[in-house]
Amino acid sequence: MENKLFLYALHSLKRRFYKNFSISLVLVFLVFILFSVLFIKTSLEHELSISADGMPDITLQKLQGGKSVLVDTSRIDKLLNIQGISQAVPRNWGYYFFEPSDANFIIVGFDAFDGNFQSSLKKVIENLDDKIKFNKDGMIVGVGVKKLIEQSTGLNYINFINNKLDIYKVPIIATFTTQSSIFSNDVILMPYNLSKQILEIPDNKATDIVLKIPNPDEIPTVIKKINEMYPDFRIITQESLRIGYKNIFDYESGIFITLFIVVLFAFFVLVYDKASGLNESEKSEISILKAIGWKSSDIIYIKTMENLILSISSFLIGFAFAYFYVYIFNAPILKRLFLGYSNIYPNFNLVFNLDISIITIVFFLSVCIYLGAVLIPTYKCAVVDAEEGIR
Amino acid sequence: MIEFKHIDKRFQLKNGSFLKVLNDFNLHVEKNDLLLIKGVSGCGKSTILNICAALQKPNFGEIIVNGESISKLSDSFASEFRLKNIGFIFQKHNLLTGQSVLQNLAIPLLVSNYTLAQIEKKATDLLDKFELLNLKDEPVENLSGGESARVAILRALINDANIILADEPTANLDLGLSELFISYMHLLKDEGKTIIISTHDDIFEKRCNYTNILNLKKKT
Ligand SMILES: Nc1ncnc2c1ncn2[C@@H]1O[C@H](COP(=O)(O)OP(=O)(O)O)[C@@H](O)[C@H]1O
Ligand SMILES: [Mg+2]
Repeated sequence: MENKLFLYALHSLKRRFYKNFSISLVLVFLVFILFSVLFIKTSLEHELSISADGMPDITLQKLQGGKSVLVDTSRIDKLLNIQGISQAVPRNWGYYFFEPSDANFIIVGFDAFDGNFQSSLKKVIENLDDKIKFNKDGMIVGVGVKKLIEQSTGLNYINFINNKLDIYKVPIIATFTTQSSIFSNDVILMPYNLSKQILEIPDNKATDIVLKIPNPDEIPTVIKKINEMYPDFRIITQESLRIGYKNIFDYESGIFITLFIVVLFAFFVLVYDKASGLNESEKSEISILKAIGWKSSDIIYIKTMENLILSISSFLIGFAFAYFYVYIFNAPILKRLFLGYSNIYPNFNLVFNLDISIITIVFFLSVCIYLGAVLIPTYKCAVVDAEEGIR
Repeated sequence: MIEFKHIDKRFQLKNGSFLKVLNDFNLHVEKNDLLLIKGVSGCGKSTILNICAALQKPNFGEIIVNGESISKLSDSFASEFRLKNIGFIFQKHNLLTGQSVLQNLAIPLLVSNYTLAQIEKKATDLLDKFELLNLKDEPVENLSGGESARVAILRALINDANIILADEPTANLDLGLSELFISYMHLLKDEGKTIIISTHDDIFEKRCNYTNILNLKKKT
């Protein structure tokens, strides 16, 4: 018996094809936008946290007049006296203009393979060529850097030239993972001494000092002691980097908020239209069905089926579109909105991250609200006297 | 067979006052009667038919149909009662658009225990009997006024109910079609159906042999 009613529901969907099709367009679009935005957001957050994993526990910069200046490496010995710091190494960074590609790379000079830093670094690099010793002359580059070098010179090394016109040939020994490329895209990581020569940093100076603190519980006391010892240090923790990264993507773009509002608005117009009552032909259908012997429950059953099929299939289609758009086509346009136009725009890949809470949220915002908006007035209409719609 | 006993029916109006449509209304209809309810618009004809079909409940009194008291049936029992006992023909014929003649005929039986194949056979037989088989797959919006009136009659017959209620069935029909409709009603009476027709047309009185005519007066 239910089976016959189900067929009737299917047939009703077909019968009002254009109306149902336009409702389903709005639903698909809503689900698509919601999923796309949430997919991009969670994937970015996931990738940012991977990137943050590769960052030092604490970075120290010397401030003078509010600007960061070179720091004396002699401070390292005194820092190592502080309980909790297992390692302190100097780090340099600066821009290098790479003429063949007409691009600026960021050089980070840092003996990353020394001791404890190695493990966190390994999380963000791949294709490591162990034959070339990093300590002497190799560099690890972001995927963007590698691509530009290959495109412009076809080589797997760079001949760096400094202002004194000294030349340093540095081979690529590994690349950073694509997942971390939001930040590593244009980065070149090289040994500290090499970077000193290319960036022409004076002896006994460095851009900053990075610390390894094996026990995270000790970080607050370490910070306090550093503060007492060197009040001119700006102390940047991995945690604050994480927060900072998140803020970069905190929906700075008004465009996508506007888009969001437009879609939600269309949806709520639809919902309002439905919830504010059935139209004359729907009312008359219900009262005819009652007058010829259908129960209210039969009517509610077919209406539920009709709208379940409509909303769930729209939900699945919207989900599939968003999946392809974000993870297969890498979210053109929307990703840009997230990252902002000002940044160098890395071509990183978003990686799928199944998150039940996202699916629940989108399901509620689309299917549940829509079903409620349709079924409550249907219920009211089917349960009151059927005679009113016939006249 | 149909018995209205001391029926009161009133409606609450938007301004809060009550409109008393039926006041101590009594009516007795025998099996195989053909009853005509006449009266001006608004005098309560539809209300009587709706109460008879358990679509509305009286405020007071009792109505007994086929030995069953239906004035206090729950919604779902009322639906079952209608499916079993009542064939309803509406003023505007009220076929469901976007569906074929066959599908319209099938709708009442979708909630019965018949299988789809059985339903299709019943509908086809009925169309055949009334010489409408050529319209079987026609969408109802393509039908002429007379054709849709006939399909509406067939839909009231599909569930083999023995009571046919027709609420101003000729209001939208011209003279010729009204006469055709009346001839159909005679046919059904000959088959043993009990029929109640409401109208404000005079044509029925002239062309019909009624067992009973009820002249309703409008209450003020
Ligand atoms: N649901 C209702 N609410 C308020 N008034 C109603 C309702 N149904 C019918 N009426 C009123 O009751 C009176 C009788 O209605 P009805 O039985 O439809 O008359 P008829 O079919 O003879 O034209 C009319 O005045 C009508 O306006
Ligand atoms: Mg009426």
